Amino acid sequence: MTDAVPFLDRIPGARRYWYVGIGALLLVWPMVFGNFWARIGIGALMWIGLAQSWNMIGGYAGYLDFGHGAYFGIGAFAAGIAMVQFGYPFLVGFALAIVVSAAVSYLVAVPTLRLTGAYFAIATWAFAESMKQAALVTGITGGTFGLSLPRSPDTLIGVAVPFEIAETFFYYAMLALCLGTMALTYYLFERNEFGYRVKAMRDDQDAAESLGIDTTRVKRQVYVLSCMVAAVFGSVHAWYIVYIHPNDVLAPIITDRMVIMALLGGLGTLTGPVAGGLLVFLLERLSSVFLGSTTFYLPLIGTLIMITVLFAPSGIIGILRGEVDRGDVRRNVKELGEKFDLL
Amino acid sequence: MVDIGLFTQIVINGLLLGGIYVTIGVGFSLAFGVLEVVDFAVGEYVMVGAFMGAVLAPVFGSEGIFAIPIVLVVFFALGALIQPLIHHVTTGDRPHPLLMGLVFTFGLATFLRGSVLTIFGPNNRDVPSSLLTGGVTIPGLGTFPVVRTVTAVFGVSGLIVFMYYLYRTRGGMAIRAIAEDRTNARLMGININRYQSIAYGAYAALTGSAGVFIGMTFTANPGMGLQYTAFAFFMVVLAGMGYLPGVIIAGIVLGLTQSFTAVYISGNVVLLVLFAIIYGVLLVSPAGILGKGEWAT
Amino acid sequence: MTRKPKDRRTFLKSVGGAATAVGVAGCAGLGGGSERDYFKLGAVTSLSGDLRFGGEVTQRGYDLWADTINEEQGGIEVGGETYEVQIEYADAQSNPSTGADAASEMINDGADAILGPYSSNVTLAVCPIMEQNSMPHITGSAESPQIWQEGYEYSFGTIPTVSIIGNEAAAALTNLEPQPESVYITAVNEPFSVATGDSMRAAAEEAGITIENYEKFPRNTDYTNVVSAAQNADPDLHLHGGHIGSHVNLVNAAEQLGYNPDGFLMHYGVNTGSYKDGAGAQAPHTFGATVWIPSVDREGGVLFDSPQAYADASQSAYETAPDYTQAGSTAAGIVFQEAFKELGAAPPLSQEDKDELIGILEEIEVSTFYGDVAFETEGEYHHNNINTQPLLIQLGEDGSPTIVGPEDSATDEANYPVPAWDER
Repeated sequence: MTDAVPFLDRIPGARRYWYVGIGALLLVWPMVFGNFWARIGIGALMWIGLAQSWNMIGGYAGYLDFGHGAYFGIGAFAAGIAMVQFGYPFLVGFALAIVVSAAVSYLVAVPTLRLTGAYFAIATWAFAESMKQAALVTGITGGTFGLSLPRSPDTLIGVAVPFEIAETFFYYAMLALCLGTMALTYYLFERNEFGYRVKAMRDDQDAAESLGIDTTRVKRQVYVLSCMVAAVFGSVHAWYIVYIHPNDVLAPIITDRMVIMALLGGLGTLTGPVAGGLLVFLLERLSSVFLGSTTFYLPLIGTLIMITVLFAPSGIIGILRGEVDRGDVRRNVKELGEKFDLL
Repeated sequence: MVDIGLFTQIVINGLLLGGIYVTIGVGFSLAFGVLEVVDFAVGEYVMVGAFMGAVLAPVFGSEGIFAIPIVLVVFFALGALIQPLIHHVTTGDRPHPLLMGLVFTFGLATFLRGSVLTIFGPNNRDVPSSLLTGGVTIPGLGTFPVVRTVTAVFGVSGLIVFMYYLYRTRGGMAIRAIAEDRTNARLMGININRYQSIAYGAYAALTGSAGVFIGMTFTANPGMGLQYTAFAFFMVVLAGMGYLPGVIIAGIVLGLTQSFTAVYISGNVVLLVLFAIIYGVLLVSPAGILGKGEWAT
Repeated sequence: MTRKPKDRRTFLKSVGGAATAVGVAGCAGLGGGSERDYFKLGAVTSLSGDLRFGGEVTQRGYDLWADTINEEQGGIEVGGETYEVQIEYADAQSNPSTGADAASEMINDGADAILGPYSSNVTLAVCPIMEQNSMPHITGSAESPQIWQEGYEYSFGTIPTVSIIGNEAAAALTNLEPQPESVYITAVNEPFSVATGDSMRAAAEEAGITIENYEKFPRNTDYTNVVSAAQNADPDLHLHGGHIGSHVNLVNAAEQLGYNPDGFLMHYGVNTGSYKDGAGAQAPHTFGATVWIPSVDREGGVLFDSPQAYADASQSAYETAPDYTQAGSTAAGIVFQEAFKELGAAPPLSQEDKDELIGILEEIEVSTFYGDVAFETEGEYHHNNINTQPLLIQLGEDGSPTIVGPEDSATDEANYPVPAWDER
């Protein structure tokens, strides 16, 4: 740790103004910048929320959940099935997403959390892939054809609402969800005794047990909670994007992206997913606008990941907090060079 | 009434498919057992190997086989150079060593896939072979496609060679010592870095060559890596992580399951069945179906 | 350890500055002007990612239209004035979610109309955006019947849905002598491919041919099992719906196992470089489906005098021979051109203009090098052009395609039954 001053506090008392400024910007964003940037905002907010949900189980709790994206898809299909197959309004689908994801994640948690490390990672990944395959062959999810959700003003709560179900609505919905997720993470993991128990379990499970922490219970709680958050975002996303298909909303790339965002941002930190989410999302989404339309962003992201893991494992937040500076990098490179002792 | 002709052909298909999986599983099992690396890049090594085969084959008169020696050497060198990087991110005073290794290899995989996609475009490339065409039909049994049979033989041979090296040579003994207890091995004076690099290089070489065979059997495509990464994971889970002989059993199980499910149940549910089996095995018997894998974290 | 505050401040400043620059540049680039003396068309297609190859095909098609009309006629003539055509592209990145964002970007930019994506699943995410914003939209590529079943008012397509293409091609094939008695049908378990398989099955049923089996499987399946099961049924013909990769795997596996039906009919993508490269020696004599190739006997029409003239133009502009997706994309542009003329409104188009344009598009009939284009106004093919005749083609020894069906369109006799693998 260093005695560096966090950048928000460079100017004494400025932190308050930062928050007010950012808050105001977020509030007026779609009105000021129009539909396209509202959509970018929707995407960014959603991915920050998803990255944060993975951060709960992967960063704070230390369990490498490589099937997390499945719950995003479960949430999406919960909303889709409720609206398309049963004709219910969206809020029913939203509630269904919460209930179903809680149930499924609990059933998965009990046997799977007994595994650790690589085994847990592969098991969760196998589970997620099974979900995708199952969705492709069952009729209720639309099978191989997917589902197209309806979007008229009376599909929110069953009676017509006075506003349009369009970008502005979804922006504020995502903003609320994202802020809610951040607040939830803050209060549970940073400000609450629960957070200490989780981190204790991550750092040394046996020691935590010996202190009287019921690690099994803690693990399950974090897992179920993080999955429910992912599902909530999935349900709103389904309504937003209208057309959902297992190959899109249950794809492994969703989990992969969450992991990368959390890692690049800084694992186990509150603002890590924000930084990582913004960086990766904007890089991917705007790369064709500013880099020219190529697949070039792929090797770019790959290199970025490798360099981050090599030289800045605590992510962007780690850099901003001063945990990594030139001296660290130099030492790092030297240690690395020593490992090339081949001949 | 089961059609015997179809039945035996499905068995053959399954066994040969298993042979293909063995070629990937052998190296991967070694990497995991010795280096404790869950390598996300394994499928991309296959893919790059296939593309090298596609690019080099015309040089040798449209014969992909002759690309193999070159692929072996190039991948060994590459692997030996990449391994210290992986070692670096999984050791030291970093937090989350396992995740670091995993994500690093994931970054490497993305880099490889993106580079090939950018350079070669998204289309398929044929890896031609004028020698390995057609199939050998044995009356009463079925048809053995030549290229798949040779691939399976290659995989099993690779396994035998690895086993010989590990159990009958001093270098292999050193690697096993490292796998068992890295600290003690270092204290004994074994050059950890060198042997780990050799192990990873051998794994990369074998996997890259497997890629050439797979390219000849199917085709070369920049997106093909992900499914082989998946199959490599399947293999080590079923075999028991780090347990090399289990790879053969795992390959047979996977290949036969795929074949029988595809023909006798429905082609649609093949992957569902496979993933469900993997998940189930991990829950019930994480040390593999033979129970011989290391129950390591 | 003291941190050098200057370094971090500089770092943060530069990041902040870059971000602001990006934001400003982005905002500045958007919000089209209210005064404009050219027709602005937005094009949403996949220029990166897995579908890049297809996206580039549509881009060539759209660009060739715009460049040709600008060069030869100076633009589109409306009310005595000629207005140039400019196309702006937004990349869908082979991803429905990004595609929807790209569509929104184009609308925000104040486009007069939109030219649509390459793939069906991106189109399915783009159409709702068009609908919500009342923006006219023609796709020169997407073929899935799902799109038209939704009944979108503002979206149209120039390529007949695959239910028709697959059906007609299979029907033409089953009419060849000697008449096949049985078929084996396979399809990759994806929306487009299953729709193809369904349509082929319908054709076989109509012709009264025995369907040995209709098997669907995931994209990454191993084809030896597919082939073995098919081989066991010993059909006369094998029909397959999928994308290029699956075709390559199927014929390779067939060669390895010695599976030799009288012919393979596969859709989509037999007549592409990717298939021919991947299948190598197994590519010749494959049957495929298309709605257009340069040698088709159709009259020219607006802008291009004949199919061959179009092919020549494509060759000189891009050094590639065009396929039917590229042709369909150019046709989409031509349809807009004629519709704008009939509308008689100068750019930029108002919302009333755009709504009127929809009415015009529903009634319009355009004769092009690609074929006759007119859109259905009711039923399951709502706003799809089903007038262009699908064709059965076969690849020759050198890989070039010839039209072998239906009877009145055929230019050559089919090489049927095709030679076995070991006889080639």
